[in-house]
Amino acid sequence: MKRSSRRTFLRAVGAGFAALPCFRLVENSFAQSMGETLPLKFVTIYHPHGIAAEHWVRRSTDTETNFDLRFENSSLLPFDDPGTYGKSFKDKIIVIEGIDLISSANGHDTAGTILTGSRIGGELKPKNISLDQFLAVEKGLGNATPVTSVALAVGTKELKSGEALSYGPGGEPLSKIIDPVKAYELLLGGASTGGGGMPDPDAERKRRLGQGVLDFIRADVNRLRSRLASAEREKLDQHLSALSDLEKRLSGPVAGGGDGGGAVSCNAKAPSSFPKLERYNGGEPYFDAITDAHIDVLAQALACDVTRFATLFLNDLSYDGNPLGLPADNHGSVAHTYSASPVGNNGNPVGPGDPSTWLPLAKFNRYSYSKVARFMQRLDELGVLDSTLIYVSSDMGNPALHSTRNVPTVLAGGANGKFRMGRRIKLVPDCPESNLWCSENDAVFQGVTNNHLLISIANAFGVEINQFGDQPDPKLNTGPLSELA
Amino acid sequence: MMGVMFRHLRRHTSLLGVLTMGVLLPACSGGEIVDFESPDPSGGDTGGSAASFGGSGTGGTAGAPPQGVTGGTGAVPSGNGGTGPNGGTVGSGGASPPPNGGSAGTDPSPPTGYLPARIRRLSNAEYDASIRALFGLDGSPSSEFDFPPDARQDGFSLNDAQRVDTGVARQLAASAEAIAAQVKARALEIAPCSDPNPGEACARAFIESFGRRVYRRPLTTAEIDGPDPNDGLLDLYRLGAEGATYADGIELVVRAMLQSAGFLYLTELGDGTAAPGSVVSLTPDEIAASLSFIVTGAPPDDALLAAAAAGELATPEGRAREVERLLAPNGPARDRMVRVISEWLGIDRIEKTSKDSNVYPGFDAVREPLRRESQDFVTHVLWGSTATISELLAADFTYSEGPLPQPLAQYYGVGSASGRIPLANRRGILNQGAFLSVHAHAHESAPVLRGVAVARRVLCEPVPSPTELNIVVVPPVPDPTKTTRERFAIHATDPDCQGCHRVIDSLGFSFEQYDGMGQFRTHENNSPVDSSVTIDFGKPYDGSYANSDELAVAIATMPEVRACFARHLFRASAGRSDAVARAVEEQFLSAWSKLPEADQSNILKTLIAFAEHPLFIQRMVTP
Repeated sequence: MKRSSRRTFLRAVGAGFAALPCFRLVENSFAQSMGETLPLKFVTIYHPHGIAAEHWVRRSTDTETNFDLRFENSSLLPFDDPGTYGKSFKDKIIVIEGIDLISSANGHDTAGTILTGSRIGGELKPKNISLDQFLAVEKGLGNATPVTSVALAVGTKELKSGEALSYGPGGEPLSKIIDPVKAYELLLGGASTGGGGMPDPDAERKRRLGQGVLDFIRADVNRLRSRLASAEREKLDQHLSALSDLEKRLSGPVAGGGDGGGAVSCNAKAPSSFPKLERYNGGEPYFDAITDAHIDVLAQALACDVTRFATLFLNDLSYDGNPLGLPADNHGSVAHTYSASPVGNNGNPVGPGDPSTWLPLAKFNRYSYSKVARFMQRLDELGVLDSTLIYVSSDMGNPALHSTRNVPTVLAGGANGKFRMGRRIKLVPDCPESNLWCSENDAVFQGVTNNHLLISIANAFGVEINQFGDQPDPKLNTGPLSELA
Repeated sequence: MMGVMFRHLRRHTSLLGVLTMGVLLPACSGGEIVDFESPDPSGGDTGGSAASFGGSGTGGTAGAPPQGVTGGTGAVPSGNGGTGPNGGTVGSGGASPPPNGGSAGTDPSPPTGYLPARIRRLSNAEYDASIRALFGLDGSPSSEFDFPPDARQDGFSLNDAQRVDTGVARQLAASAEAIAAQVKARALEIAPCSDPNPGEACARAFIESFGRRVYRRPLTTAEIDGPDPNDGLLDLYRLGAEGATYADGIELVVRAMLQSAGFLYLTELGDGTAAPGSVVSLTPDEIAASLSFIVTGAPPDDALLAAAAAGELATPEGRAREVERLLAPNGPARDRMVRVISEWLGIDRIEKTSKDSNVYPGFDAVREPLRRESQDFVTHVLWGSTATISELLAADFTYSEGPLPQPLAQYYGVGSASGRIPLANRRGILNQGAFLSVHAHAHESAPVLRGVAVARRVLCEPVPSPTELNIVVVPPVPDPTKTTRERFAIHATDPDCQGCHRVIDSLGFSFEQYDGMGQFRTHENNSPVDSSVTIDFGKPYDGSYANSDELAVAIATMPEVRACFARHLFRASAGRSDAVARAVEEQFLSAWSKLPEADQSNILKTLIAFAEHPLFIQRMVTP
């Protein structure tokens, strides 16, 4: 949004208004009414356990633009369920069939490929930076907001490629926030309460001391950096970026950075704290509520322009008393037992599969998408769905095979019109009829990698790249996904 | 259904291609979906003589050359003529000459086999230990302030891949602020001052003396006085004390120090005078810090600093003396050594292991006792008994410092005694509950996980990961009418699977007498379990074994097993496991193999051998 428009708005409402809660929201809607687009925001959501393709792929009567999401046991139902989510989001999504994550790794280690497009190395790490970090940090698109980017997760702080979406330079995983209270504190807490502009000497001293400490640390890091070889400097470059992030927090109230600045507040209700947060540590019964809390905080933060780049790693619900009525071991007893028909088996002729094993997985998939729909609903209510692009992916296609091909992929939000939404895209099959069992190393392999999608997303942010992600064969990581335009 | 699934699997790598890797037949589905660790590419003791100590290090099989030794690229000042490793502040003159002698850029064949000059961030445990040592505080700030977990390399938390990202920086800031606030309350105790109106002179003295401990070396003028405002610690004292008190100034200094690069990163850089492409020796302070963290997980104590100051750590004997001192019974090395053994076998994960409570309702009650048992047992073997790898793997007892907690006593079917507790049907740490529970699923045992863990971590058998082989992993579907072994026996009938699983399964099936939480069992799904295995890899441990106890006893004394442990101890200590590190590892193994046999199997003496090694203090300066 242009500064001129913000100035116009301020003149119209008076400076005092800027101190009121959620000033930015009102300002945003004013800007939109003036025909301006809000800055594009990018959120990636991971969901576990692949997909029951039988309840996900296009129906035989569907076309690219005319399709039904309400068929029986549809896992995509939440995107067309106005009764639950206020409206249908059918025209705000693109469902893409046929995306491959070429990680060369077990499906369980492949979440790291979703945003990096990289193969996963022996230490269970990708080899390059993830797209969110590339855009937010390396290209500086996160600089304008108080929080450059944020990585949220449910249930796991672990930093292996199977459990993290965001990676810094060289493919080092970024730490994640699993506690919604901490997410709130970072994104929305400490927001200005207005107060009529009286200077607060204590706060000013606190800020001055904090700045002094940061200046010193930065100087100290630079002193050490100057003694290092280039390979080692990468570590400290990341440290310096982190210090810049901390510095933003000092310079003023959290909420409402953007290009307008000013004392803006977006006070949302703080989420209640949870007795347990971690998977395998008794956290599972709270995962559903933790997910909702993360989503609500994140939606508010995006609306208030606190940050424009986020990742959210969802988790399995499995535990006794699972609200979906799924087995306690959702992983072993649902995902592993999925017995696919050819449509869920990368197109390979494996027989009819076992429909009774599709349903529990489809139910879990629908649950995952219901969280995306909730997020869209919140963003929509806050007026920023159209300026947000949400990339939703699992790490696998067929979870019983741990296949990283034909991974369920959904783009959601308005994406500021950069992509034509409201479609179901079916990409070419990975292998030609003559060689149905081909691998990505074969010349005949024609699978479409997520690298192309990542390039398209970068282009949507105005970052003109034509290659992204560590892959040995340029055909796997060069060029945008032409179907999106 | 299952058969169909298996038949239709296709490998993305041809079996032939895999065979040419010269390893045990690989290929196939792992049958498990838990992440395999990175493969162990070193096959036992081959190629160990590649480079002798201090030799010219041409090193045949030893590994990749150091990166980027370009030899005279103009941009690099290569004419330091004779810059030895001991230039400048090292000063002891005791270290061996640089193996490649001469100045950088003149030798067309790059030297091999040094770790690069580098930095590594303190692990969470090292951070905690440092805070405790500096302030005499108890507790674990990294837990209290919810630091993100350590990034692991090869399973080990001490490694040079740790970064400070925004999440870490934020928690470091919160921790530093809280600790500094506590310091403020006792400022005159921590930063004493005889002046009744304490001021800048006392602050300077504090910064110099305390800073030396925080940074593990004397501070430079720039660090104290800083050329620009806020660049130096004294600037921060002034900022904090201005309009406030001496204690406020000290508080701010401490808050900054605890987030400084000097504190957070251990350096292995030498004195900075060596040109790229040459070999540099660590400074005495760097050696002291390195030694101390590797052996005790904590910063150097006064005696170690004194030894460093006296130049004693430049010699193998000097280092050995100090490590021996630190490894004394009831000394400071206990937690660190327990951690090394735990991370080696993966049993540190016991704290995060959970089981399906429908299948294993008793697990929650034994998880913590199992953790404590491992700790007590390892401590006892190391300091109350032989300290050998053979006893660790084959002891016919466990150990409990206090009375064995009731749930665990019941689990093992023994009384709630303390001290050495004989176990009738359990031999060594691999047959204890922690290892068996960690390497299992939530609802059943996991022969593949157990087999892979033993193969890679104990035998150093190179089991390739499915990742490397580019294959799809298809676990057998649950079947309540079969034993786990029967279900996984599919591996033996599928020719593509047999390669890897001949190794993995014969090791893993030997543990089938223990269920998914390590409880002894004779039946599963109403069928008798079968733990008998025959191993025929053409290896010294080939043979038939009734179960994992027999197997553990057989392998415990084998040279291959102690060599494998020595490798892992190296990796746990060197903090790096790529090709460059592997060249150093081979040289260490070569030196270690010359120890008397009794010392080779001694875990503590193996660590001393590592510290003694000349390469412990030498690094390659890369461009």
